[in-house]
Amino acid sequence: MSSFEPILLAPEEAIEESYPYRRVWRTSAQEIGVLLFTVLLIVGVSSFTSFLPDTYANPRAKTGLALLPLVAWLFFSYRGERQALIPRTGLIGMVILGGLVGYGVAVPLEEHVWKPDLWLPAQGFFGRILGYMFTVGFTSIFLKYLVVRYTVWPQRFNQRMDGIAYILAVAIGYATVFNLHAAWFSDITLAALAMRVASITFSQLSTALLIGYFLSELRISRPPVFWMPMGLLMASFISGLYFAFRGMTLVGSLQVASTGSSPLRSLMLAAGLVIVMFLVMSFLIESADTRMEALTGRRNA
Amino acid sequence: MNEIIEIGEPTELTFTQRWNTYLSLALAGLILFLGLSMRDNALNATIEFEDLEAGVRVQVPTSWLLTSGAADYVVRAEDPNALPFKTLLQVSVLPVGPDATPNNVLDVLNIQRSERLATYHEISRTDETLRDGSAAKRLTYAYTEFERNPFLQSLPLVVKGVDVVVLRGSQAVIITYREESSAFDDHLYRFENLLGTVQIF
Repeated sequence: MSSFEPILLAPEEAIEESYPYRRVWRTSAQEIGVLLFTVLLIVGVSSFTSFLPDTYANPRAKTGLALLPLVAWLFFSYRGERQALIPRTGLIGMVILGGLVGYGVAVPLEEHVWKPDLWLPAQGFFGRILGYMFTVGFTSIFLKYLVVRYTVWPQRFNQRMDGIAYILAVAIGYATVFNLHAAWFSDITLAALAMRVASITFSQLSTALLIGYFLSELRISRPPVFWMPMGLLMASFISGLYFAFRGMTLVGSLQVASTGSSPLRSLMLAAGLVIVMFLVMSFLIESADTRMEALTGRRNA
Repeated sequence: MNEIIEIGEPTELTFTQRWNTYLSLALAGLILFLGLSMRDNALNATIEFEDLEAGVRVQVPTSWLLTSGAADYVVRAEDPNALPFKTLLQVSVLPVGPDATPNNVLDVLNIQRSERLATYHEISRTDETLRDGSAAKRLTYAYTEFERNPFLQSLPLVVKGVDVVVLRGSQAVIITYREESSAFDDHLYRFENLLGTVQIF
């Protein structure tokens, strides 16, 4: 008996489900990679060669370096968004608002009210955590929360990754202001500025992720009434923890052959924090999406 | 032509979402209050300094550099973080005759300082009553201070100072505050705090 079933000459291609949105984790990882690579390159070149003189007065190079995270975000995230089938709207506005609250509120508060340099370094480990958490840390977290909460939330939050995309845009604007401030008003070398820019950007991105996740959950699922305050506290605590550990890593051991400061370890700490936070948040969001899909058959709100 | 597709719709907030917002704002108020308290406690923390020989007990800022036992003062506290001038609080004791008045002491100080400090001049002299009710005199003055290191190439600083003189038996206790003129009013509270805690016995 003959069979009339068609014989496949080539294996059937697996149909890949089209994802209409920008893949936020991928573009963010690219930005982090570019920033880390550039910073390490600058530090390496200025330390071991005379090709890039490690001078104090190089305002254009410093400004360019301070703008690098923003440029990387525009190139990877914003361009990726424009190419997506369903682009998220208002991201540039988020960056601008992040920069405005950073420049208009956070910088004056830090310089004239909190003055962390005057009293936080003298505190003990737990004093530093709480001190930074209740002052500079909470300010940065709460301002970013306010920007997203009173602009795009909840109407543009349709899936959990929307929260991450919007809050990262705010964090980039916010970090850029602090990067420029460090570039223009600190007498530090190019290599030191590179590490400072990376530390500022990574720490801002890391803590912002938590806020994005908590805002998304508040929009999509039914969390308790203390959900958002808990998220704000957790994010501030992480920023306080980062500051306390940064103080420990930055001040290295005093040795005959070296100075006591070790900015490279501080950079590694910031890079480690951002990588861990990205991994943890991507796991949490994927788990929540999978659970939601299993229960309701959809991943969106 | 690009078409903007707006997916989300304005949504009415649920009870949970509304209360999350209210509680977040309340938390912000609480945290900022805690932050300010922590900062104030850290910046304004004091320790007690006592000199039994001179008979002086005062509260001085914790994180400041403290020196004592010099010939011309009992205790001197300087803010190591202050730039460009190290804010100074000082208590000194001067032996005086039985008929001396606070004004006499201030006159002596004026003469000594006009020799030592560049462009020194008195601004005002007023009456003051200390916390324990004793009468005192307050002298406000100014002078210019020059950086001694020529390589720093800095402009002269205008320093403003205050002395409060109170007599105790055969000695005059002089409580001094000096600060760079633009920051003088901002940090005057430290001097007032010191004045409020000084005990002469």
